[in-house]
Amino acid sequence: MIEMEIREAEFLARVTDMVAHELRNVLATAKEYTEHMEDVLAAANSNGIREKQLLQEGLAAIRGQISRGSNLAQRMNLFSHGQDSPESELDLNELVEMLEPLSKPFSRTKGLKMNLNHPVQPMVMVGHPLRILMILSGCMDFLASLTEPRDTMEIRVSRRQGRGVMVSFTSPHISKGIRRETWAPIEHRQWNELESLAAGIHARIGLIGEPGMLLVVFETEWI
Amino acid sequence: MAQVKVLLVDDENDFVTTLARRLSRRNFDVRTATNGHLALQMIQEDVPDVVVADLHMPEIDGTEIVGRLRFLYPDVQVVLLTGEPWGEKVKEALQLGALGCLEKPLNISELTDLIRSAAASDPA
Repeated sequence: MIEMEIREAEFLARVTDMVAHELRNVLATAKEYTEHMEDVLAAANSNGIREKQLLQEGLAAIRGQISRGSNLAQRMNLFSHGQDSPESELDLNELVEMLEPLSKPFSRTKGLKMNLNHPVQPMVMVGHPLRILMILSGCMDFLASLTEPRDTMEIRVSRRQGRGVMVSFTSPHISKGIRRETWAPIEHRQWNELESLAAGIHARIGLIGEPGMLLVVFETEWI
Repeated sequence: MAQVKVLLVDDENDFVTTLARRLSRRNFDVRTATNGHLALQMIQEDVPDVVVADLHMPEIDGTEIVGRLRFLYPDVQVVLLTGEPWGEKVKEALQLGALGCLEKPLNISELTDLIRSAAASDPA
């Protein structure tokens, strides 16, 4: 069974790698066409200035989407290569940015508003990208399950004094919800799974009552 | 000043055609090939200053083009393009003598700067 799961994970990595590669080719061609049209427009005479401006705006929008797609393809590659070398240098900020799209299911159903807050400079560390994203996403889901409808959640990345990196998930209205004595068995089970996942990647998770906060601490050297 | 002769090699026809037009506008003398076999044939007929080739292509890929040119036409510089600039193939191609490897989607200024520096440099 475990062998089958490993084979499936390896196959999924290959598929992801292939999709990311093809996506980059698609985006590369779209980018060349867009910038070629911009070259042509720049060289065109000034007749129809309004139309020229509209075209330039449209092309700028397409370029923005191409850049967005390229970033997504790059992130897909990050995960597909996790199978080749489980531990790699990664920017924690990039992983945290992926939490927003991952939060969409409960953002929609609960009306939860997400605020990401991370330093401008890259937070480079060594780790297993897929497992780190799993633990971060698991923590976000866990905290979201305790929030009230239309609550807010702030996700903040910061360096710890001396060593390590910390990600905090804060929702101001859940101080009652994070008390363990009020949890249903399913919440205990989810929490135990998160603790065990965290321990596997040299991370720790903890809860703080006021304000309602879930902390993930990665015991890693900064790079 | 003589135009720099560039041969673009990529199996993505739309990509290579559009990139050729953009380079022509920037005063390069550009020809295109959509596979490694055709590229080697075209190089034999008219040796370019610089070859810009995709790293991942069926049959003859960018790494093999670098290897063959180092042996057959050591004066021709090769710039590679790839969607995976961190891969093992990139290291291999650079060790074989490729001048550089640029990430797709491209930044045209980076490419033109690299082509000009490739045309001005001596690989030997």
